[in-house]
Amino acid sequence: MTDINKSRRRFIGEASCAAVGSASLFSTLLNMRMTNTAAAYAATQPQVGGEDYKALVCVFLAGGNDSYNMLVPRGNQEYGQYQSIRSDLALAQDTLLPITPFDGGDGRDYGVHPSMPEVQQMFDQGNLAFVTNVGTLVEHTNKSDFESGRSKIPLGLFSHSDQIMQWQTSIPDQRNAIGWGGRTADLIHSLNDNQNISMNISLSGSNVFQSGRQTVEYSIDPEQGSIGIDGYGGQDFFEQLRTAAIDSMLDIQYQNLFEQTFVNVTRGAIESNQQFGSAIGGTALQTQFADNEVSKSMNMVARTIAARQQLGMRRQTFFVMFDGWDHHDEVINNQQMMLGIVSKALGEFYGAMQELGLENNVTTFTSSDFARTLTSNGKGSDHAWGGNQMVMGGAVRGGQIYGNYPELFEGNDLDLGRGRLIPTMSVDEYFSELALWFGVSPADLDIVFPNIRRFYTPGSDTPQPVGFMQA
Amino acid sequence: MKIQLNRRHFLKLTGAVGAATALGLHNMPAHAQAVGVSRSIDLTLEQQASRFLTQATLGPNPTLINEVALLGPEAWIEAQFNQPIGLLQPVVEQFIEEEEAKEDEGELNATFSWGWWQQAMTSPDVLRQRVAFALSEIFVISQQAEELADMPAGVANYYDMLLRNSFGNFRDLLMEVSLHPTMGFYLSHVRNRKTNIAENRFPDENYAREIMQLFSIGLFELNQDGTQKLDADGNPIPTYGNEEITELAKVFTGLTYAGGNINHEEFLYGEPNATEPMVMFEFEHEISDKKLLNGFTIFAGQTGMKDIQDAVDHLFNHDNVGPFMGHKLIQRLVKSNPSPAYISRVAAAFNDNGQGVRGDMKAMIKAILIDPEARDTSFMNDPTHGMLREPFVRYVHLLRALETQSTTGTFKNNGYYTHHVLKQYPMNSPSVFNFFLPAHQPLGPVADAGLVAPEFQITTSVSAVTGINFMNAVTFGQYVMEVGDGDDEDEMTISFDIAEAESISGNLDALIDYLDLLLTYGTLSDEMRQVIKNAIEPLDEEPMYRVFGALYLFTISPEYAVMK
Repeated sequence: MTDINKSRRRFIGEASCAAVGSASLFSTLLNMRMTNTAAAYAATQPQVGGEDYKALVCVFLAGGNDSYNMLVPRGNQEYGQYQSIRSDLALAQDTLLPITPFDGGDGRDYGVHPSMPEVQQMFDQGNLAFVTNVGTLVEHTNKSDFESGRSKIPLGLFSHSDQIMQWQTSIPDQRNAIGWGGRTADLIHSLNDNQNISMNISLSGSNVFQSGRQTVEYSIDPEQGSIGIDGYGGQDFFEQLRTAAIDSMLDIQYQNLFEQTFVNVTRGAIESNQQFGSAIGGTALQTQFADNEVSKSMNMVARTIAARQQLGMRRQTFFVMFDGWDHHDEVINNQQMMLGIVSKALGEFYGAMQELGLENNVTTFTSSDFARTLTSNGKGSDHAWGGNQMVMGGAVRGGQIYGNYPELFEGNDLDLGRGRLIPTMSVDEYFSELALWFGVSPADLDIVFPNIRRFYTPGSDTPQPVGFMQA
Repeated sequence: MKIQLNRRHFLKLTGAVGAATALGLHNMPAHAQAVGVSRSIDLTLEQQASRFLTQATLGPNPTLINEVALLGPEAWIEAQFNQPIGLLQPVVEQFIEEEEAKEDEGELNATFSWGWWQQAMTSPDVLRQRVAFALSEIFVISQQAEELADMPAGVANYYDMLLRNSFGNFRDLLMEVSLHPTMGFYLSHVRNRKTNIAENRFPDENYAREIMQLFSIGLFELNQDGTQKLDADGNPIPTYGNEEITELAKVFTGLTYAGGNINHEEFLYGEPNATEPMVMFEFEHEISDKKLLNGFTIFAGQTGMKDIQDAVDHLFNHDNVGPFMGHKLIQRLVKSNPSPAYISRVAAAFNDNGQGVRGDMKAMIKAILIDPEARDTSFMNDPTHGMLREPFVRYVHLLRALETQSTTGTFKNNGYYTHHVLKQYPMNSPSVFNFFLPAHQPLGPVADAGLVAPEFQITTSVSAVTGINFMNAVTFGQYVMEVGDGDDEDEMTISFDIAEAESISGNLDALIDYLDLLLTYGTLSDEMRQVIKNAIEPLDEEPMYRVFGALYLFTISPEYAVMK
């Protein structure tokens, strides 16, 4: 009985993996052909450090990080503008940690938030870059086109739920829960020898970024990694009864879609755990991580990467969400604590990658719903649009600020009121740079970023959308 | 044999489709032809009562099942409307007093949780308690904000406000939510100041945005059946833009905590009062005109409180509210994907309760629960019908169904571990967007059919397994609640009443029928019944283990997880 069940289960598992549901046979075949070509391209890309392994780690600061207090103009004139518009939210000039862009940057002096010494250090060592005034865009726009309604703008602009989704889909003119990490995995997951564990691993549960048409994230626990069912698979009398019962339960085919989905999730969790648990069991790192949820999550990402060969993985994405950035209130105190946590976790994680000799194979990047109004509401700041992000890794052309850091005065051409700044770089440009590095071919970039040609022509003379990754 | 079984069920399914279509209630999607287990739709009166109670309460028990079977759903609902309210605040304050008397000030932060469980396990106003729990997932404040964890009486006061208004009028609910100090803290409109150009300071927009997006009208213009209105180009029509938000933000200026003197010092720095509605300090209220939606303007010169009343009335009277809130409440109580016709029937009850009154919550609740799409058992064989039940509700249901006893008379469940494992706990959402989004689509058959299943957002490869292990601890481990310091002695004070189940455990079918009525209202599939039988049959020496084993498998089964 067990053998028959096993083989049937395997068959059902594969069938659901290929999304047989409503997809026609034709489109499934087409997908398979496309996937094989994409994976073949990714496989021909130069190997880093002698090993065909790359990972992208998304750190999502949910709620809208007030990122014009994370990267701040420090020169007297620019600081004066900053101080004037931010009023009671301005950080003191002499507390900013100075950073020195290579080649002098744009000629202005900048500093990072005083709680971010690790970020300051990694920037100065060339392992971290800032990307500035980046945001969700349907097309480039300006103040008069925006105000007259001539330009197309993202759905639900300034709203958390929509902007969090669009920062993960890179499709701001649609409501679509398929993320760019998911579309990437759909294309190149076949590179991985192990097809039983998803290419996309989440430390923070379900998310849009890692959801594809055929890809669902594999969620693991920040402290325990994967978790198995108590008493399942054991050999004593009770354990055998339990194992047989659960196996038979998961063999039942349900007509109701919710019941069947519930079975699928449970079965997938059991099967992945059996492999994941044993692969990651022996991976401990020398690098010390702090005792908070973000550092613990980054530690588990590092341990999973350390087990990449046992797991049979050559490409992986990771998703870590850090919630609680909606600082309408108490923005100064909260950011002091929370940016400190981010900086420390990034520093620890980079150290762990160095320990594994993989600092050039792993790139970490931040995302957030939006930046916040430059003007204060007396306690904090409100929802805005374009903001600043960080990219970290040995493959990053670090020590630079990419994009155009806006001038922070009221009435600025980009200011839609209260210091809500129109982004000058789209998330499509930001993310497509990362996807190209990861191994998505220029020919497939439209599949991952359907709107990319509004901002950048794949395969053109400009080999990179922004230039912050080493080619 | 398997094939015969499927064919048998398929035949029944087509019969059900015919019935549902004849009623004109919904369109059966193409994949309804999918094979798989389903069960006869011929439920006994008791099973139908249990099914109704699974929607209308936090969990049926034998007494309630008999009540509903006797009265019928409609009369039972009317009787529930007249039950006294099981308020939390008096219970929580009693607990606070006891804790404060202890040397180390005890477990103050857990007292809200204790009060919640006390009423969930004992209060007879079970319909009201269920509706308020649903409202707490729509009008979200959260003890994840530490300051609110430190204000258990205030959070209980907020919950009581939801309980009171569950059977009141939506307009009052929206007003009381807007003025509640815990909401003022959570969405930061307490101490919100008027514009000050010289200081470059503008009103906080947080509450203005969420009262529209989440608490009343939503992002897009809706038809009465919940579908989006479209413009000439086929695009949805936003209900408001950022201009309207900055205008509405001005309305919500000048509010501060009650109880102090009304002056500048107190406005900004007075002691927080978490249990009385916020009050208006006119000096910090923006006096200019406020241009709200569709050309409606609140003109300068009114008192601040009148401004807020006018703005709340303005939102309350928006055509979206009926379909928007109706859809949200149906998703909490009955099913994830209500038909447009179902939504429009509920919206109509919201718009007019039959006596010309708009916003009558009783009319809306009754419309949701009495609707054919909720009651007619033929829907149970529609593969798209139903919803994944919230993991926390599945836990409460088990405890209520087994008439869990406490030797101390209290149910002081700390719930820390429960929250960690189930990713859900009352008044502990990670953000104002609740534990899951209403439009979440899990990959696979649900997304392929273009449907949503919000609760799957917190059902991952981690929580699917920890949820099973949690049920293992609750059933086999008799770790029924987290009480006291977690030592066995404390935990032994709370236990299931399984005497009835034990007494019939010699007859496997009788035991399974008994639990099937209480937990899955007669919907356990033949296949799952066989799984449970095979597993517990060898445990013939220990009736208690037989019951625990059956409970474990029932509570991790797809039939228990999904409400149809």
